[in-house]
Parts: sequence; C-alpha cells; structure tokens
Amino acid sequence: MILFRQFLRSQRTGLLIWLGATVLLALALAASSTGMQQNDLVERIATKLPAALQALLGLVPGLSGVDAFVSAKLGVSLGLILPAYACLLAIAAVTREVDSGRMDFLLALPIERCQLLLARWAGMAVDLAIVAVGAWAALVIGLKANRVCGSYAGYLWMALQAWFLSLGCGSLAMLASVWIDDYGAAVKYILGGLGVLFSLDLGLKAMNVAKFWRAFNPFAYFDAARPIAEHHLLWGDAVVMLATSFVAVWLATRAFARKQIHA
Amino acid sequence: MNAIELQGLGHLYRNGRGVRGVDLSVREGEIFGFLGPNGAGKTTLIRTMLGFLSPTSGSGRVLGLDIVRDSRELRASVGHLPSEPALYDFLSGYDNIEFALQVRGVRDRTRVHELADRLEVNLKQRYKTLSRGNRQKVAIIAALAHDPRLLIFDEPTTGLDPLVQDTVRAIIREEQSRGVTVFMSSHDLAEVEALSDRVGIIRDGILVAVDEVERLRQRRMKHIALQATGELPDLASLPGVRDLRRDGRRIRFTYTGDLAAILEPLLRSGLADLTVTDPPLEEVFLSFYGQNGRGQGGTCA
Repeated sequence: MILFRQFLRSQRTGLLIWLGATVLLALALAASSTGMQQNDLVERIATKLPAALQALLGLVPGLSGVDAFVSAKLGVSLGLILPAYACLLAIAAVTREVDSGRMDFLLALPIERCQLLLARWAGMAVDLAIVAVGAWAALVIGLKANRVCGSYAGYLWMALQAWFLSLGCGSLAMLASVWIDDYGAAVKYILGGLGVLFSLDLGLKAMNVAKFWRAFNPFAYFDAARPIAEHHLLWGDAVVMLATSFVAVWLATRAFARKQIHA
Repeated sequence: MNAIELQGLGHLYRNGRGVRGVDLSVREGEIFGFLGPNGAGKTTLIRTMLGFLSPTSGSGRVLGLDIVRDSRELRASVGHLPSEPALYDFLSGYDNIEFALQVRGVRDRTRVHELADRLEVNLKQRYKTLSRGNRQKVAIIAALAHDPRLLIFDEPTTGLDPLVQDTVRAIIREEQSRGVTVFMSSHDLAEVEALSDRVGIIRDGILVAVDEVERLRQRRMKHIALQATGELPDLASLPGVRDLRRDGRRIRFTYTGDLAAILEPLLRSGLADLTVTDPPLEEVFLSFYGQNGRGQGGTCA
C-alpha cells in the first residue's frame, strides 16, 4: 500500500496535466456539440464517404447526431490519449527509475521486486481510471450546461472501453520497459510503437480488414461507437484487454525479478 | 560470526568486465575498506551482494543470509549508500526518508532528527533544490535511519566538504562502536586508511589483496621532489628509493617506507625545496601489488 501510494504521489503532477487536458477537450467538444446538432455536418460529409471511413469517424447507423459526434471526436481521442498516457506511466514505473538511479533507493528497501511492479501497475490503473472518468464527467457536465441531450451512460461505457484498452497498452509497455534502461529511448520506441499500432489499425479498418486479422493489435479491441449505440460495455473486448494486461504484467514481474540493475 | 562471507563470488557483464572469483570474509563489527580505481569492480561487487545484480559465479552470505535466496530479509538489516544517490526530486528530504522508513516498518524518527542536526541539513527542503553535498547527507541519513546491522557505503564522502567529511567519519566510527559492521568502498586511500581496520584492494574485477591497514600504511610510497643546497648522500643506495631522476640540483624519486628515515639524511645535507606527494592510487596498487596484482600484498582472507 505504501508503494502504491508513493507511485500515485510521484505521478500527481502528470495526472493533473493529463486530466486537465482531457477535461478541457471534453468541455470543448461539449461546447461545440450544439453547433453539430444544428448543422449535422459530420453526418452530411460522412454519408458521402465509403462505409469503412464512416466507421472510422465513429458513425454507426442509429446513433443520434450528438452521440455520433461524441464517439467520433472524444471516443477516438480517448482511444489514443489514454493508451499514450498509460505508456508514459509504465515507462515512469520502471525505466525512468532505473535511468535516474532511484531504482537503487527502491531496491535497497526490503521489498520483493514483484511487489514494486504490481503496486505501480495498480497505480497506473487508478490514474487511467481517473482520467477516463474525469473526461466523461466533464463531457456530461458540458453537455448538460449546453442543454444537449445524449446517451450519458453510453459515454461512460465508451470511456471505460478506452480504459480497458489503455490498461492493456500500459501493461504491454511495462513489459517492454523492463528491457529498456534509457528513458529517452523508452519514450521514443514505446510511444513510436503505439503510434504505429494505432495507424496500422486505422489503415486496416479503412480497408475493411476483418477483426480476426487485426487481432494482434490492441486498438482492434476498441470501438468508440458501439458502447454508445448498444448501451453496454463490449465485454469480449474488455476481457481480451484485461487478459492481455494480466499476462503482460505477469511476464513483466518475472522479467523484472531477473533484471540486472546496473549502476 | 562473519558479517560478510563471499565464496568465489562474481558478476561478469557481457563485455567480459565485472568482478570474478571474490573470496572475502568481513568480521562482524569491523570497518572494511574496499579500495580500487574507478571501474575496478567495487560497485559491481556491492550491487551483487545487495541483489541488484545476479552472481554469475560463486555464492555469498551477508549477516548469515544468502545473498540470492534471502535478499529481501538481508536488505531489511542493511543500510546502503550508493555512489551517486538519487531520491525523489518532488519530495522533501524528510519525505524521502519517511517513505523508506514506512516501507521498513520503522516508527521511531529520533535518529533522523539527530542525524539531520549533526549533518546540518534542512530536511524540509525539496530534494530537487538541494546541493550535491546536501543530497549526499540526506542519502546518508536514509541509509542510517533504520539502525541497520550492516552499512554498505559506496564512496560515502564524495561531494561533502572537509568538515562534513569529518562528521561522517565520526558517525561511521560511532556505528562501529555500537557493533555495526561497515563495508565501505572508496578510491580515496587516505579516507580508507583513516577509518578502516582492514582493506581489500580490487583491480580489474579481481580482489588482489586483503590486508591490515597498518601494513598498507607501512608500505605506502611517496613521490619526492627536492632541490639540494649541499652534497646529498647516495640516494640510489638507500633502501626504498627507486625511479631516481636528477636534473642538476633538482632530484625526483619514489620512496616506499618510513618517511622519517629518508628525510633525516636529506635535511642534514641542506634543502632549498622539498615536495612530498601521494601518487595516484592506481600507481600505489601497481607498485605494491605488481602488474599482475599478485605482488607483495597479503592474502584475501
């Protein structure tokens, strides 16, 4: 618990920055959603696009204008912002500590290495949940302030879906970070890899490639529109991300237990 | 009982460097100085003992506990000061120490305040804003605050001003008087001489000798440069003199032995100038232990 609290405390500034950014984004989108209802611009443009690109915009038949707008803008943003934040948290949990020399301070304490890693993983999960729920709350407050009706519960499912995705991505990043001791290199490679996976999934979706062929990619398990349309969490995708997360963190604890901590 | 007992302990890096085959016993309540030039393997051996690095050969017991199997229990009784301490920048010195003590389950903070007073450091200040010396002080307090049975200090006085260095040395001696074992690495021969009961010397990853400090002191060499005003005795024939070079009245040589024994005939002859300097540590090692590291030194016991 002390290690968990300490990690949360060490990430406090980062959390405030990311929470602030997503809350501002959600409020800005909520403010601009009134214009979308009147103009319905996205829908008019999207109807002229191929079905695959409509899906990329988060437009699903049956969604109202505001729901479509929220899923296309906030959903896709959260689907990238949260995994990116998760990767940075994962890098902070291992690589940054080794790079800064603080790992010596931590490992000189009478703790098991897996304790340290699990406390940090739990801290990462909590921070991501705060950002996801914070973005949802800001969106709902913003929409209500603008007297716009939307599927508020559906938006929460969408935010939670993004949380599951980010947890999976963060855990994979944590696993990768066990082998990278240089902070700059870890940020470059892990965020770069995340960008490649995101772009790859977008491209494959645009080409109407079936999910089966995209199964290796965590972004294949995130759909911003469906949780809003179906008013529930996509449990299958959530379970895959959760299982990925557990396996990755289990492998990470094993690798970290064997890691040689050089001066 | 020995506080540290290493048998053929080694950790080799992929490039072949590291430490190998270290056999070493450090008695309980002893201050053991661990000397060697930079890159010799001092820190690698310490990190292997603490479980930061896995041994690639041999085994070791510290405070009766296996360094691999019982690493967690072992670290509960050890105070470690790394060569370049790094704590959390966003926390104050006190909060960093508090975090470590909470993890260790220590409730008493008396020792923290007592050490902070002696070392004259403001623990309320953010670690980020502290000077190098003050950061070192905070790390020293963090290593001592839980009353460990064994102190493993890697270059403890680096970055401290001479007055504070004296305080740290006094604290180390007090710890020893309370029965604490101190394993202290340094490349400062004078510091190790002043504090330690025994000294281990490591070179190129091999523990070349372990000796009583007194023995090392007797064999220590000096560089002597002088300018004579009168007729000097035949220096080359004096015991302990080597590498003799003359440049008119200026003479340089290396001397190993009791300094008083060589100064007496020189002073009788009349001197215009005299400089006595300590050679670099590596040179002392090479001279004392020979190029192969197995020269005149003692054994690794």
